[in-house]
Amino acid sequence: MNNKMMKWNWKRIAAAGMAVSLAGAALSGCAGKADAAKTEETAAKTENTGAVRTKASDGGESVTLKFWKASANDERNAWWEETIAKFEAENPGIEIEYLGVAGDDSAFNQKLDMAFAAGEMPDVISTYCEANYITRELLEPLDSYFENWESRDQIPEVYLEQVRAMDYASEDKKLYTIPFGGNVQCMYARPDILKESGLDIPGTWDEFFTAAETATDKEQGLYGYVIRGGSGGANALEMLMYSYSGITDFFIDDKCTLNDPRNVEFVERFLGNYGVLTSEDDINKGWPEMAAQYQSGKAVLMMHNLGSAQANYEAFKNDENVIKAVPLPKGVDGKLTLPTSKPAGNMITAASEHKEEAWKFVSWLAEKEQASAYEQMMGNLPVNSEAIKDSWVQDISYMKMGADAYTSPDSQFCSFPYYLPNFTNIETNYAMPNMQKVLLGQMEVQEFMDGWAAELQKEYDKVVLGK
Amino acid sequence: MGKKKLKDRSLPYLMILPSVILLLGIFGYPILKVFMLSLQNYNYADYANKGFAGLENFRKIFTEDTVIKESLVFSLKWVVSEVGLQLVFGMILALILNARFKGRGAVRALALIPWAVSGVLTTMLWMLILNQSIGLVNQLLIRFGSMPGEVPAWLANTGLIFPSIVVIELWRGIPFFAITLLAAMQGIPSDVYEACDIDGAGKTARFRYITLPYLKETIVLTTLLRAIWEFNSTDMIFTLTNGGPVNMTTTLPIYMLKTAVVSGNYGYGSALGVIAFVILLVFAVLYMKASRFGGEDNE
Amino acid sequence: MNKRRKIIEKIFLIYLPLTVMMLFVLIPFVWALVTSFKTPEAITGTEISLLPHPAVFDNYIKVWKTNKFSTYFINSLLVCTAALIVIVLCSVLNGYALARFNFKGKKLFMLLLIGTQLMPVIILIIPLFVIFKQIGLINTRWSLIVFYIAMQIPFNSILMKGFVSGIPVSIEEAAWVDGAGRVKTMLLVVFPSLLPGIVATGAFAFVSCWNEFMISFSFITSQDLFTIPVALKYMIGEYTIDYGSLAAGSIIALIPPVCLFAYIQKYLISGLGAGAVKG
Repeated sequence: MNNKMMKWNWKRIAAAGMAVSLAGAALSGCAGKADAAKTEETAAKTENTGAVRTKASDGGESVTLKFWKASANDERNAWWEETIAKFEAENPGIEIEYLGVAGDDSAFNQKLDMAFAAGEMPDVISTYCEANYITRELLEPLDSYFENWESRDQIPEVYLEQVRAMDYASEDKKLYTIPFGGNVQCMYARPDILKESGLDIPGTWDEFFTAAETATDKEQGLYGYVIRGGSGGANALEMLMYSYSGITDFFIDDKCTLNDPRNVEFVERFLGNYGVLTSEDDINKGWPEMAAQYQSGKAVLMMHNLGSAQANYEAFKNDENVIKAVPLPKGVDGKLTLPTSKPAGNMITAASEHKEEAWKFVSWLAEKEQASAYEQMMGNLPVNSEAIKDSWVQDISYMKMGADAYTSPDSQFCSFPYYLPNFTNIETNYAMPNMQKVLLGQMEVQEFMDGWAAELQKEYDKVVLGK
Repeated sequence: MGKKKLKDRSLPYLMILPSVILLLGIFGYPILKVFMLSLQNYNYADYANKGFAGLENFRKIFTEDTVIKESLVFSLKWVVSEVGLQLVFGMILALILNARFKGRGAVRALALIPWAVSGVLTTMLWMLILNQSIGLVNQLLIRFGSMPGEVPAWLANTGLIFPSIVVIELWRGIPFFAITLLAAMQGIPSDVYEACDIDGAGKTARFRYITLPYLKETIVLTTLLRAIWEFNSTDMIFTLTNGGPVNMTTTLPIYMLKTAVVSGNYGYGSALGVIAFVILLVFAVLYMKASRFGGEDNE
Repeated sequence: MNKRRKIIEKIFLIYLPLTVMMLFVLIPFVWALVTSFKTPEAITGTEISLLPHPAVFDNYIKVWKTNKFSTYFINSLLVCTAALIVIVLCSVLNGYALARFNFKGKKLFMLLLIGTQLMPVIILIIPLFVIFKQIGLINTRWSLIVFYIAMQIPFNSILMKGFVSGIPVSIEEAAWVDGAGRVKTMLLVVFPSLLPGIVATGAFAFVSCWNEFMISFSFITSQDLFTIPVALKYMIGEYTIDYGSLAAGSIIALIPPVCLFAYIQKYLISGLGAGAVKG
């Protein structure tokens, strides 16, 4: 009797537990289905109503848009809150529920994945446009809205092309992003140290290597330049090698140009000085470590983008005799070659139930006034062709430098294949560890570059050529 | 008497019931889901081909993947050195804190603080100390006469990076052992020690024959829990080294994190998660068997 | 002679190792404290000083005011305290059941406890989000409280089992002989003896909840509900890291756990187990 009682208890406990976990599984709509992903997708599409609240106060119905911004921090959040208040005042009936997501792209993407799985997608997102957003059909094409937008001429064709390139699969190359800011690659130099060695700021890569060699004072811990060997390092290396070789596309005649002899030559020169003209911890350097070294005055030359100009200048009290942002060195063909950047901007999600209102917000943000103010806060070049004429761009020397470099007829662009879904993965999973092997002398540059090119070629063949 | 026994029999089930319901309700489905995803090709970068893939992910892991081997070896090295060193130093700290000396209260409170620091903050604190250009240690080395060009790269040099991260994690992990061992030492009846003192046994013998046996169960449990915890913890290493250079600080969970979250390959990442799960499960069962833990419950 | 030996022994066995350990433990904090009083240029600039010179309070003011840190502080405190109470309660119940009873399914229960801990939370997070969405808790403090309880029960229950086992059964048996029931014995005899263990696991649970980032970051989508670890993340910019504010924020974040430790440390050694048996 006692024993039976106990058994019954145990069974009941087990049953209750099972019931709870099964209920959990069933509720999420995935119990017993092999293709859980598919179910979640439909859930995402049908259940989005929960994400949008309508409110019937003060007579009219008001629409709430959920808006998520990537790489947020306190300063940026403050700007957005202010700007959104302005939009809401100008557009009664639309409310914006803002969420700034801290951290890097993968943090934002993870948050988006969760929202997608649970059917909680925001209406508007502001981040880098990932190739997989398009293949996963997360985004709404904006062409029809864009055609009817009165300020459409203010978005230069060069940016639109970069955005349309993301949609490699369809013939009409749809527009999924309204581009926001341009991130110009540049070089930071220390004119004071160069002057001591009787040198000018290098304008070509040859001068760059000479200057680095002359200015390095290893004993005092002063290094010629900085190699970004850690997080983000492979992408940085790509940008630099193409600015050296002057090749304008990753794929020419369907063949990967990454292991072109001129690129290989650059990588040999650039990485070959590791530990000689550069510091030992370069091998694991991400941006925080680069900033720590450069801003503490322990390197002469550093390649990064304009986004960090403000911080770099502040570290040297904004004295242009001590710190100066200049264009990247000119390549072997004597031209300045800039990489196209991964399109960043505002997107409307396919799940949004208020696309008209969402477009109102997205297009309002792209208008001259907002676009200008936003990029001034971010320290980037505005995309909007009217905004670029603003005094803050023209008066701040490094901004003017960036704008000139970007718009000069002598500059050329190298198209980066951001449309390949695995492009970034190849950088982080193949190129970064193997570049570190090269730095440690465990791998030859040629082998490294050939392997890298082969990975890219494989991805290109599969995705673009359908092999 | 029979009535009391019945109450006693159902009592343990009543005691664990809330936890069982909660744990199954919260973790049941997610763990199941990871197992399901591990059998799928679910990769954002190859979204067109998503779907059931059988054991394809596992086949790739066991035949083509080179990182998994490195990461398993590193995970093992990491867990063994961390748990071993934390136990030894935690024990020393606990013994000291259990002794009588002036200012014991304050020292006890202070010695335990590193435990209160999160992984991300640990990274920040130690980067400010070990960074090659701006770190405190190198600043001090230079002040004491080192050439600025010769100060070590604590977090990048292939020979120094492992000891560096071991020390950092040690800093954060010692208090865990110190606290649990200190608390467990309170359960040792003082008359046992007194008897020992009468026999004239030395301090070492006292520790060896009394303290250690009494702490055995706590040591077994804490090392088991800590091993699982250290194996799965990614925050500090990943933020500090990004798993590099050349994947030499990539543990299996960091590899999984990079594959699933950073690269968007959830199918393959889930398969790595399943492997981690199985390894830890086998370890936990073997460890409990070997230490005869739970051997008493053979009803 | 004997006295001198004792003093020397004390120096070598206690004070010397203690000093070394305390230096190791405290230097990072002292350096964080120093950093929190520095201006940005003094942290990463060309002249890195060992002492904040000039010493400024700007970082603290900035963190507390502009970052709504007071709100996050209260959120963290609410969530962690609520979770803590349930965690300790459940852990004592589970630990006692595991240590004092032989029942069918005990091994299965152990396996359940350990099994939930064998996968890093990071891979479980998307399905977890889906579950919490279904029960309607996403973007509430409850979602964090419920998850933290579930997350912390297994470790703390197993730890607690060890502590309960450490208490001699004899003291309980003595109470039974006096006619007290299981529950009464547990409350009046076991609980007090268990205090050091409860304090240890409680501190462990509190600190783990206090520092939890991933779930808090994922489940909360309103800024007003953020906890401290999430808020600290917003001090790391895309291209700039405000080390001064981060250090100040970390120091503030450390105050509750430090106070907690200062308060509870005396209970860690005031074990009643030994005395009870003797008496």
